[in-house]
Amino acid sequence: MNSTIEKIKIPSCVFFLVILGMLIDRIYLDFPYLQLDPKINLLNVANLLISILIAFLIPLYFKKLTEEKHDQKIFLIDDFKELITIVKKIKSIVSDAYNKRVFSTQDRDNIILTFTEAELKVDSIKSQISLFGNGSRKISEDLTEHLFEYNDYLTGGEMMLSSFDSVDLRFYTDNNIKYGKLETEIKNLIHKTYKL
Amino acid sequence: MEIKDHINIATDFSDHPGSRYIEDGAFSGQDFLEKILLPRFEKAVRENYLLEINLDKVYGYPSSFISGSFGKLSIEKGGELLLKHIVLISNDNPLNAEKINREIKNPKK
Repeated sequence: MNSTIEKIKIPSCVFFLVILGMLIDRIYLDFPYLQLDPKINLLNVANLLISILIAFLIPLYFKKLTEEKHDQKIFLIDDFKELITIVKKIKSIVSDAYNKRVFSTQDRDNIILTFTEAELKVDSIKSQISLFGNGSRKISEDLTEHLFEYNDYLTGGEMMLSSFDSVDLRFYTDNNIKYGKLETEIKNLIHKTYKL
Repeated sequence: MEIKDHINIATDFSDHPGSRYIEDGAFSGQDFLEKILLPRFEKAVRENYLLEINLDKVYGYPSSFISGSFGKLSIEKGGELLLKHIVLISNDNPLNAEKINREIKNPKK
C-alpha cells in the first residue's frame, strides 16, 4: 500500500517541478531586464536608492509621531474635562447650601477636599502637558493661577469664618460668576492645548 | 545651608488647617504662626540654618490659613528671607508648596 503511494507521489512532484520551471522560464523571458550603463557611478546609484528610501521613511516617521501626539492630546483634554467636573462639584455644594439656606462645617470641609482633588488633577495635567514643549508652560501656569484665584475667593474669604452658616443671594451669585469665569478659562486652555 | 529643624503641619499642628485669625475658628493661620512657625523661623534665621516644613497628610490648605501664617510672616520678615530659610516638602500634592510660595512672594494684605 505504502509503496503504491510513493509511486504516485514521485511522479506528481516531478510534474509540479516541471510546470514551475516552465512558469519561471516564461516570466524570465518576458521580464525586461535592466542594463547598467557603465558610465554611471555606482555611488550615485546608491545615493539615489537611499534618497528614495528616505523619501518613504520620513513621511512614515512623521505620521507615526503625529498620531502619537494626537492620542496624548486626547488624554490630556479628557483630564481638562475631568477638572471641570471636579470644580463643578464645588459650585454644587454652594448651590445646595443656598437652596437649603444652611451652610454646614461639612460643606466647608467638602469644598476644601474638592479643591485638593482639583489641585491633584491640575498637577497631573501639568506633568503631561510639559511633554508638548513650546507654549505648554504658559498653559500650565495659567491653569494653576485660575484655580488658585477661585480657591482664594472661596477659602480665603468669609466662607472660612465659623460664623458663616448660610449662603445668601449675593454670595451665591458671586460664586456662580467666579465659577463661570474659571470654567471659561479652562475651556480656553483646552482650545490652546488643541493648537499645541 | 543645613536643615536643622523640621515642622510637620499634620502632626505638630493639625491635619485640618482652618481660617485666618484665631477668632475666626479652630486651627487658624494666626495660631500656627504664633505658636509654631514664627519662633522656629526666628531661631533658624538667628542660627543660620534651614527649617524644613512638611505639608503632607493634611486634608487641604485653605487660602485664609496660608495667608494668615506664611503670608503674614512674609509681610513681617520679607519674602526673600523666608524663602532663604524654609524648605517646603509636599509629596502628596505639589501644588500646596506652589500655593505657599505664591503667597510668600505676593502676600495678601
